[in-house]
Amino acid sequence: MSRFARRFDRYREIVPDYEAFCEAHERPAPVHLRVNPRKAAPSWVVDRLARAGVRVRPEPWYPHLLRVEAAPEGFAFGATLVHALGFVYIQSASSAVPALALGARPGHRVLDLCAAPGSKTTLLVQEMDDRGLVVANEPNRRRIKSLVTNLERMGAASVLVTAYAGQNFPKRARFDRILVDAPCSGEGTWRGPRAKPRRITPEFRAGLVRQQTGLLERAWELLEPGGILVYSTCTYAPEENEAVVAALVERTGAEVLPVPVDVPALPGLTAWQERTFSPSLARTARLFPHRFDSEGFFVARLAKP
Amino acid sequence: MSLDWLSPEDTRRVTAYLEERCGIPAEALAGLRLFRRGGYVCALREEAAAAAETLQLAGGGLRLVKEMGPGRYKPATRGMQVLAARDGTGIDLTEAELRGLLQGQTLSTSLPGRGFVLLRWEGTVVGVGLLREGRLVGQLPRTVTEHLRLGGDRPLV
Repeated sequence: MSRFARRFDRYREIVPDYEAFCEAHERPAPVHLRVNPRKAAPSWVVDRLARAGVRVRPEPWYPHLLRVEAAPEGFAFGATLVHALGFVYIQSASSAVPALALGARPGHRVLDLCAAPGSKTTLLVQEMDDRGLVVANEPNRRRIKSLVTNLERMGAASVLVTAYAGQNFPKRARFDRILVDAPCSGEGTWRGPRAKPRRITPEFRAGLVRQQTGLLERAWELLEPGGILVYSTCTYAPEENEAVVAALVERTGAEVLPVPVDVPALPGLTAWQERTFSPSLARTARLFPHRFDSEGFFVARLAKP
Repeated sequence: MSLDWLSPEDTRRVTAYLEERCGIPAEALAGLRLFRRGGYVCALREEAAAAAETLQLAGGGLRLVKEMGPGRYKPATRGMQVLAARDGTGIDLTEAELRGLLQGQTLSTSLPGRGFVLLRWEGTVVGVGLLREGRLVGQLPRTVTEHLRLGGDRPLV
């Protein structure tokens, strides 16, 4: 029996094909490389990789994202020239979904409220062709170092890095697009034999929910009318996902929009334990590793009237 | 927080240097504002530059050149990779030459001239070198070279 079967037991009723879900967690997620087209054409990168015996396949829903199908044993993608020079970013497929769902375009003013280490920020820059404004915010001084390193590696002139506590981001700023990839219990990242699931106590979870709610509330205040906000986590807990979004929807009238990325997602929950949520929460997306071979994710896309 | 913006005169000087030394047309810098940070001249998009005045910054901007003294510059790899990706001059390296430079070797060359040059590998900018008296010295940032595993005889990737 999978070691995850007991760990995820509380989700047994909300995850279809629960055994396959647990088995998927036993396997490592596939490696994906995102090509930076501002530095090199995807075909250039694919050719260099092929010469070194690395076979990749572009994801049909986002061809700049290459799934590694085969590589020499022990091949270290983080120690390659194409990585060091910022031609590629090693990024899990599911973590690309919230950034793509935001629909950032050249000229937009975009805030990435919880930005480190920068996988989503650099994807946003890529989608905007480095034109407009991206504010990459990260309050943790240690994590900000990796964020800055990755931004420099990928090369961007439209990005400002700030270090505010997200809940206190200055209200004088306004944005057309905001990504809140909130700190979470991270259950979706527990994949493969080296995964070390942590014990999540109710108190710890409650602290996360307070933080997630505070981040989402402030982000909503910073969003221009007509703007789009994406809230995401890499966990399965409805308390950290649908419940956080539902509270904002009830309080503000935020409109829940479908997630326009063509990946095999399941609809968000409209009920959990004794709670019921707005039927519109079914438009949010749940990514499970046995349906979409990557990390588990939750993505909600909200419009401000 | 106000950044240390370059004067129009200094901006013209950097633009002229990049055009003359690296073949980057002035138009490539259109819509960018230049500022100094940590010994480098960096670039920000106009929209980002405007927002920079209202936020407490912890970083940002694309490094273009390192200031080596008054009016003396060295192209920065990160900026050149973007600005010179399609236009620009440079020395085309073979894989063996690039591997040598990445390992800290100095290459003999018959190329004329002296000073900083862009290094290209199979058409793509991979860094900056220093040409001096028949020798080419790699100037690739430590952040590029420190984690590389060149893999012996394996093709460079």
